[in-house]
Amino acid sequence: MAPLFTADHIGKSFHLRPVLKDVSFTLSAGESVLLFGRNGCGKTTLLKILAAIMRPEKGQASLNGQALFTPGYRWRSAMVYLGHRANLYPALTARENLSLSLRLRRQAWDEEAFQKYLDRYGLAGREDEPVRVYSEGMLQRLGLIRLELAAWEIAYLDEPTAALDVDGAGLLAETFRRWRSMSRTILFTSHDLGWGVAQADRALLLSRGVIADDMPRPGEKDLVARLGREA
Amino acid sequence: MAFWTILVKDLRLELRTRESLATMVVFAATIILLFAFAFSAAPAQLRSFAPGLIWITYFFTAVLGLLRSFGRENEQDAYDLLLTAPLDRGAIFLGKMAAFFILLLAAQLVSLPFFILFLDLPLWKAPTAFALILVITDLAIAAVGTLIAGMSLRSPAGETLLPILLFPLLTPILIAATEATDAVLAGQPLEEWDFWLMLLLTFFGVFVLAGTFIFDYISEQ
Repeated sequence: MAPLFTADHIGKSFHLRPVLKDVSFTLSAGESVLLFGRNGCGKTTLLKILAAIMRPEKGQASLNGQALFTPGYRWRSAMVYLGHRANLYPALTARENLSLSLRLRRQAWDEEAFQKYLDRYGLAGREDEPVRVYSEGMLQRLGLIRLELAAWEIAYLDEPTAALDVDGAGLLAETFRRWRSMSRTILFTSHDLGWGVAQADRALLLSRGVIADDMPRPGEKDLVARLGREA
Repeated sequence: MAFWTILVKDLRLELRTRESLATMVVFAATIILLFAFAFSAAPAQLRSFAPGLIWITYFFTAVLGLLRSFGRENEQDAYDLLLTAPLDRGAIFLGKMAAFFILLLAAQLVSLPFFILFLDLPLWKAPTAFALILVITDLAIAAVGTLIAGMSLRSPAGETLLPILLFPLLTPILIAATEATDAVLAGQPLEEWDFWLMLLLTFFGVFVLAGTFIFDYISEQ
């Protein structure tokens, strides 16, 4: 089966120091893939490049055979991104933030779905408060509702559990399973390797600017041992 | 569509917080009061430096507004929401430019009475001419400012980079606005100072076109 997503020879430097040298990998539809590596290895940079927030110096990527990083913008409708921070405007309410997000994607507002996800993520009754009063965990949950409401094929999530409590992490694991059953593809990072491997079909080790290993269904100990060998 | 969404979003954020408007108006009022009370200038002297004073005040007022307009995009990395959306990034530029233009104009309308009251400037004698200069200069400042702020404030050294890039580009706009205001205060007819309006309109046109077409490239890190 042809891969859904292909990244070819992606490279990026900061102040002449190459962070990504030659990153290539593929993802299949419905796959959940953990991107792991030491601090500063370029995980966030890679996700930001794929999400069109940063521009690569070299390389190309394609989704469903359609080239990414092109001057047009329609290719961005197939993907969503949730960063370290929740990508929300603190002065706007939860409802206004998510409504804005959908308008930018030219999607109609679905009040019923909004209420359903507010309930699921434990934010019911807080939707008309400005999100500046939310805790980091609540912001992260709202960021996940943003992804739930959007239509997409591939999601890039950078440390999605970083601000979540145990319940939140469990909820996200359930969400990952649901997304995969819908043939949605997920590329994510997590320093919580135990949680990460439990959600991943594969793990990609990013080290020294390249994908140093591609590990199908790894265990947490395998990842820790592999990271140790890279040190 | 995306243009309106960005414009409404920026205005809603400002109405909700009033951070930019309050900072801009307080700054402008402080400068005016400082000049009014620190220098006991005769009316003739005042008339000679008033056009420059007006535009220097609004120059820094605009910079404060720009810093806030793009600063709030960096809170919670909200700007990434705009960048990852399937929209023409030229619309981000145009929407933010239009919102900043309205904000700058609002700050000026609130602070202009201070100029008239404390510095006794006869701006009310030619209200249409002065309004024309104000609107066209603000359009030019908004176009140049939004493009440069969009480019520089994505960089970690953005707040240092912004004045270095922006001040030289805004200088010709300030000179044109000052010359046109001077002519209006001297009671000259439009034919005597329309050159400066043309210059301002040229700046506006060039930077709107540039911003619309290159914002896609410059907004990515």
